[in-house]
Amino acid sequence: MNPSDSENRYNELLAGRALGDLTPDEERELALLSEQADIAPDADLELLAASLAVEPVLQRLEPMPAGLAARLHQKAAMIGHSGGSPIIYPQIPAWKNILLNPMIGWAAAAAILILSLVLTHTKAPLPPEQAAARLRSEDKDMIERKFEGLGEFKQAAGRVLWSDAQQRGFMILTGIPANDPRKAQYQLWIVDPTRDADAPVDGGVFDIPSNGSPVVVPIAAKLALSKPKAFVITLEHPGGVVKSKQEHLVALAKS
Amino acid sequence: MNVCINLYGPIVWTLVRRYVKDSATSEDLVQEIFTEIWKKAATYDPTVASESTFIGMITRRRAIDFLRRQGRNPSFEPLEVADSFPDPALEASSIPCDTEALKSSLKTLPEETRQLFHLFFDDGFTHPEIAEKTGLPLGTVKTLLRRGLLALRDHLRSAGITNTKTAS
Repeated sequence: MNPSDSENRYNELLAGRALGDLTPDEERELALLSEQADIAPDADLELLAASLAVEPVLQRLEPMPAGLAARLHQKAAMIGHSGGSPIIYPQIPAWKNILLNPMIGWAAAAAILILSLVLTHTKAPLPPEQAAARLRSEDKDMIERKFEGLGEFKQAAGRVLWSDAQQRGFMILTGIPANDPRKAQYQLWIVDPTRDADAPVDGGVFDIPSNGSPVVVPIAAKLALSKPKAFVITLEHPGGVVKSKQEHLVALAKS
Repeated sequence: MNVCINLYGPIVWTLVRRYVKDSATSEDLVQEIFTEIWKKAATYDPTVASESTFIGMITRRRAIDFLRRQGRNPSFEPLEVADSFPDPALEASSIPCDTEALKSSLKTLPEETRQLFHLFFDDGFTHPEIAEKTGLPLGTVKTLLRRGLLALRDHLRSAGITNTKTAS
């Protein structure tokens, strides 16, 4: 394949990605071509596809179910009142654009959250013990459990801290082998007794670096939690899975 | 954030329902999408895309990813061959497109491709459904949609359009 063919194929696969029609083989091919070309894809095609998809949707909007809207508002209230998080979140590369344009609708909607994030992220993360003490002081009913390593991961240890009131928490982990994110990633699962026992809530995907020091991992629960009974770490495909087969159990913390 | 839910909740919900037919699963997915929207709010750049396009992009990414993972779950692939591909960066985008520019660029596409775009984006049909409706082979539908999207992008780039907003 000459360079021009490669570029055409790369573009065609990017378009397939934006349209959501890539086969698993094509996804691998795209990843490979992207590595070979050593370029990061821009979001042009995805933005175009989103524009084309949103436009007709605006003409025939369906209201959200009332129960769903209520749950979203509840979650928003919890997040909105949880300022001062001591834990590490992703970088914020472009927040200033929104803060500089306060009249923009989206910015107005997100301003409270962004401001709290900005205030939080401009501070250095607290050390694990201080972070734990802070969360404990903010929520006396905070849940704290010890992790125990499982199977080939017997060396794994640590703690998980979770606040129902603030809907946030984090793990402090040691003894878990570093992973290569291109091959596998760790994923947290949370057993919430108010939900289907066979479908634990996805608590987020994370990596363990190779420096051997304790790692603080924020919990990124995809759904609101209520008095979780157990936290399970598994090793999964890069990006995580929707439902784990639990073939690689790493650690468990339960009450 | 409550304003955000009221304004964009119906867009997210309506888009998700195009991909996921089961109501309970759709509700879970919408909650995940809003969590991501709140996390990524800080990356929104109003000079690149309108709010609804930004939210539409996140929604489509999550919905497509959900379907992709669902399809893959039954056959748990070995870790060595699992893929990893990052989300394209919004900051690197260079072809903002307003509604008029889009409409104008769409007119440059062949009639057959425009028809496929209409079935896919406006009516929300899947590739196999479009193949059945049009009588075209599935592979042809896929190829024409991909090449149409690329042609649209190239047209917008060459036109040097700098305003990015669609409806907000």
